[in-house]
Amino acid sequence: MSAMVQECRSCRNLLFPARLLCPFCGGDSFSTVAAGHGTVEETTTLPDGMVLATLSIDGGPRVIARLTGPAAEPGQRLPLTNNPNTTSGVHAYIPVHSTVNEDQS
Amino acid sequence: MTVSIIGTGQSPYTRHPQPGTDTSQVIARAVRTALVEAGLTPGDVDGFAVSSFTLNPDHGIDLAWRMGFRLTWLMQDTNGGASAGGMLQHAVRAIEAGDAKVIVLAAGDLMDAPAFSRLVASYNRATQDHLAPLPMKGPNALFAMLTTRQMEALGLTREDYGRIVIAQREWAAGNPGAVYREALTMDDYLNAPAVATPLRRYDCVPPVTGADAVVLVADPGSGAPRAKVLSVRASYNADQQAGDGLETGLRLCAQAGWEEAGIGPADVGLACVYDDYPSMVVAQLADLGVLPAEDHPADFIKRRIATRDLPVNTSGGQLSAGQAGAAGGMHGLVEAARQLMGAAGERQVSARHAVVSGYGMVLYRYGACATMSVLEAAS
Repeated sequence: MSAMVQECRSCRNLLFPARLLCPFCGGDSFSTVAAGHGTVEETTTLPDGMVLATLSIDGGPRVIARLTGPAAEPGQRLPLTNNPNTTSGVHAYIPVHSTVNEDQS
Repeated sequence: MTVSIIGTGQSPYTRHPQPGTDTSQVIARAVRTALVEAGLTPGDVDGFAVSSFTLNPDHGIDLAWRMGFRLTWLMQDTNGGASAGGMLQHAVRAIEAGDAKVIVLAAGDLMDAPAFSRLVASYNRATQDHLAPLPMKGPNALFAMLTTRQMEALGLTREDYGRIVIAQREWAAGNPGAVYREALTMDDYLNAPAVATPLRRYDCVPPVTGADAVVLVADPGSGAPRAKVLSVRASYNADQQAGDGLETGLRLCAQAGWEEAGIGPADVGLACVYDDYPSMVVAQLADLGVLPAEDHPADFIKRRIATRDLPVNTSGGQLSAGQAGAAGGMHGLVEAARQLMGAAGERQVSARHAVVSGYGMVLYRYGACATMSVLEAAS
């Protein structure tokens, strides 16, 4: 289980959401890579019980996700997914549009 | 700088617009009110700038045509809560450069429930692709998490934010144009319906339909009250959305803004900061230096804001007066100008200088646009 993020081919920095030019090196060639885990920084619970979270991807950007299981604590590492219907355990779901993260080189 | 605001206008904010109301009508109403206050007519206007999320299919030029303006300067701004500062920055330079003599700045929106839903679902590509499908309906959850971060970083409690909200509600009691004017107790605040932990109802702005406008001219020195623009600064995409959102772009532009104004943050008698959430009031006051780095934020709120020692958002702010879409950014500019021109009625304060800040455009996790302006009462 993983989530797709953008990687700059020049400086290898991870980006999300996808950029047009790399904010680190100015490069315009990207690939899509799988990010496996993120660490929960904060969560917020909505009145219907949905839990949204900010996660920090190892060596990469912070992302906003929906937790697919019971609430997680800050500091907890969770598997990332682009699939909203995961059933086993807690995952951090990050929606990705089909046209996002495609190679722009 | 030699440009002044000589008129302000607002169309009445309402949560439930009459059927058939459209954005251009409410903007025109605010513009006309501002022109009347300035003692001018549409024929005097040669510069116009507008910001709105719901003007489609019209544009700035359509509004100019429909209001009878013949122009030598025209601008349309898309930066929401920071649009007023952005338009002001350009307008001041345009007057100084001789491109126009009388500029009207306006912002407004029809923001009923369907319009609000459409706006937040397709705010930008990142929202459309990565936030709306979560599902996330609007920015409350993002600012809930930002507020949690700020509470930890600054040692703030729910009660501290409550004091800001309650103080603004007390100011709103003196503003006939505010949609929420009845007194709010700490119990009401703490026990209001949950929105997104830790935020509850009164941490969030009520969307309203309405518009705001100001009239700018080269400094007239005519004896009529005016609000002189001492400085305007802006910062966009200051941190590439890679930070924690606790600092706004104001941190980067405030020093230049104060230097150009020739006064410091301790000299202002009024602060109108963009209050989409009380945590952002704290963030902007800190970034502007009005909340000094050496002061404790919780003490500052109790000692200066709650007591009215420093008037903050004297219209009631968007939290009590309402957020009229893109007019949210113009709201504080209109209030500061009214105060400095002695036209604030029951809530009039005695201030010679005011600072106004704008903040907006949540790209993914927090706002990316920030503007500040410093104004001075003159006649």
